[in-house]
Amino acid sequence: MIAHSRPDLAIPAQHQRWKKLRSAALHSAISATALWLSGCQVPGEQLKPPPVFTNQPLREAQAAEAPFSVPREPLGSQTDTLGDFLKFAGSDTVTFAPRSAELSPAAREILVRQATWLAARPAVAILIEGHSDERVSVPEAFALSEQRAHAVRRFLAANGVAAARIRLVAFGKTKPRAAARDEAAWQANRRATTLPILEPVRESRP
Amino acid sequence: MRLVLTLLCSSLLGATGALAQPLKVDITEGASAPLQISLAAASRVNEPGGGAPVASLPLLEVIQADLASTGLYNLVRHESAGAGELADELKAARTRTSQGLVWFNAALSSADTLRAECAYLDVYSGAVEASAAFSVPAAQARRAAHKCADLVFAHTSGEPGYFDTQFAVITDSGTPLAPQRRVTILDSDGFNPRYVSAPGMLTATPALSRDGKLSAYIAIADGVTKLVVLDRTTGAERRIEAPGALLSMPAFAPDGRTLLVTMSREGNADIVRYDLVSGNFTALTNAFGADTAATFDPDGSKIVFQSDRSGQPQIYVMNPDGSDQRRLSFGDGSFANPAWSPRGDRIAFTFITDGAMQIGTMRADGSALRLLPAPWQDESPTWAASGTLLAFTRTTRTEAPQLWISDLTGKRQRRLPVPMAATEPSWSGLLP
Repeated sequence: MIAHSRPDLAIPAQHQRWKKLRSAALHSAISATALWLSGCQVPGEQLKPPPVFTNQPLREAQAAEAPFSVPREPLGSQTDTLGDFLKFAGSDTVTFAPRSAELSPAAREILVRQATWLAARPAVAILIEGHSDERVSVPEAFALSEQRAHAVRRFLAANGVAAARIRLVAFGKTKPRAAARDEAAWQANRRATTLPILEPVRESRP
Repeated sequence: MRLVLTLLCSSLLGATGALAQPLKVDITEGASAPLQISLAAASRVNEPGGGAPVASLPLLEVIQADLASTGLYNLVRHESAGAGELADELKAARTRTSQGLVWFNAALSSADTLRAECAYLDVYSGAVEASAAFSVPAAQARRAAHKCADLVFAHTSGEPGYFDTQFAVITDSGTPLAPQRRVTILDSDGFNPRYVSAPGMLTATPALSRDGKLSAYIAIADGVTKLVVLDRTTGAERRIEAPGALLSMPAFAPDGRTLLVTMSREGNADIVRYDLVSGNFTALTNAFGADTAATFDPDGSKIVFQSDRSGQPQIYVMNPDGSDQRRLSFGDGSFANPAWSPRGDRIAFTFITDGAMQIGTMRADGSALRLLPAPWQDESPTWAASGTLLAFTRTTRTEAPQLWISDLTGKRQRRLPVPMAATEPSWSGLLP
């Protein structure tokens, strides 16, 4: 056994005190760091959901739209009229940009309300009319109006309305809503209208 | 005296000397004038079997109007009441310095058949240069006049005629916000309208077969869209619905046995062929986007159509089975409604930039584009049987749409006198 102590290297008292200080400081630094690291974590906050891109061109948005939550309203009275539909949904018609069948955010808001009303009345058949303005050729007008009616049907179907209830008709530019030859009229004519097919209204009992 | 004689002789010699030189004539310009033609009708019945006389003068007016519309003639109609003998009419034509005489003779050969004789004579020699006899149903008496005009026009101009043809159009007797659209057959001069669709339906995109015997159109009523094919001879109608799809833009093949039609399903429009015999649909295109407005070339060997698969609508050509689809138009703007000339040399189309529409033509290989100037929106071109004229819909900012006919340069344009809004003409070939 080799003795490690070297009697000629006597540790002076100051050095010993420095060593004690150093180890105490090291220990306190380690524990302080541990404390600080444990304070970094903020428990309980979840990640925000990823942003939803609403301006995709129509052709890429093939998958069904993210369904909005549709509040279940009680089934209405048996005397539904088109006036009720209009009052609830705000409008039976959505309009489109030139040469486009893409639903704008304003259109989607209207269609969500239409879907709510229609989903609560599953026995009502629906007709969607598509139209175009006069600034496109006749063949393009028919193709475009079918695209617009189809876009509305797809949106309603993704929001609780069975697609089998919905029939489409495309009018091209043959049935304008506004006859003036200006941009305001053309904007009004680039449209799709949702028509619930209702029974003749009976008088409601008092 | 001898001096006088000598002077006379020498002057005569000098004169004959001058005459002995060759005659020199300079031709520096031509004087072109329209050919002057007289028109006269027989007012006596020449049928050996006696047949009832027909008021030929109104039919003569139809011939005159047809020939006048070409701009190639000065026309003089003889209103001889009571004469109506060929020799007298020739004499009258000579007096009026006409070069040709149209001699027209129409009579009913049976209760429902009209027989007409039409001859074109050279006035000075009195020789018959061209003649023919026609039999048409009595209800279509105007066709005899159109056939006579075709004979005279073809003989004097060297170009094929197009007067005995018909249009299928949509006439609208309502207002823009409350349309009353009906499929209507018109003579080539815009007269003699006959409805072929019932009232109460919204009709669109009419087509007429080359021989005029079949008509097809789209009818929408009560939210249901149907393709209607009508046999005009028998009156039989076939109504076709495609399940889950909407049909539009029918066009007949030259042999009249198949129809090209656009089928729109779930936001995508494709060209399909409908077989009139079997009733089967065959898809010809399957591309992403709107393929529509397909029509055949005059042989039935190629199909031209519009497609927006590359962005804006452009013109494409393909084989009748849908193979070998090639793009023809590359302009900056959109191209629609392609229609192949009966001569096979050119394709007409609607050219659209920013809402302004013009009729244009290009060679069948896509080169040599020519656009006709338009006041605002000219669209839906269809060819005359001769391949020298186009009919189309013209809309101005202030007026309802009307049908116009133009030559290929755009210099001679005239409106068809239809007394209501009219759109989407489809022009037949020469009727058999």
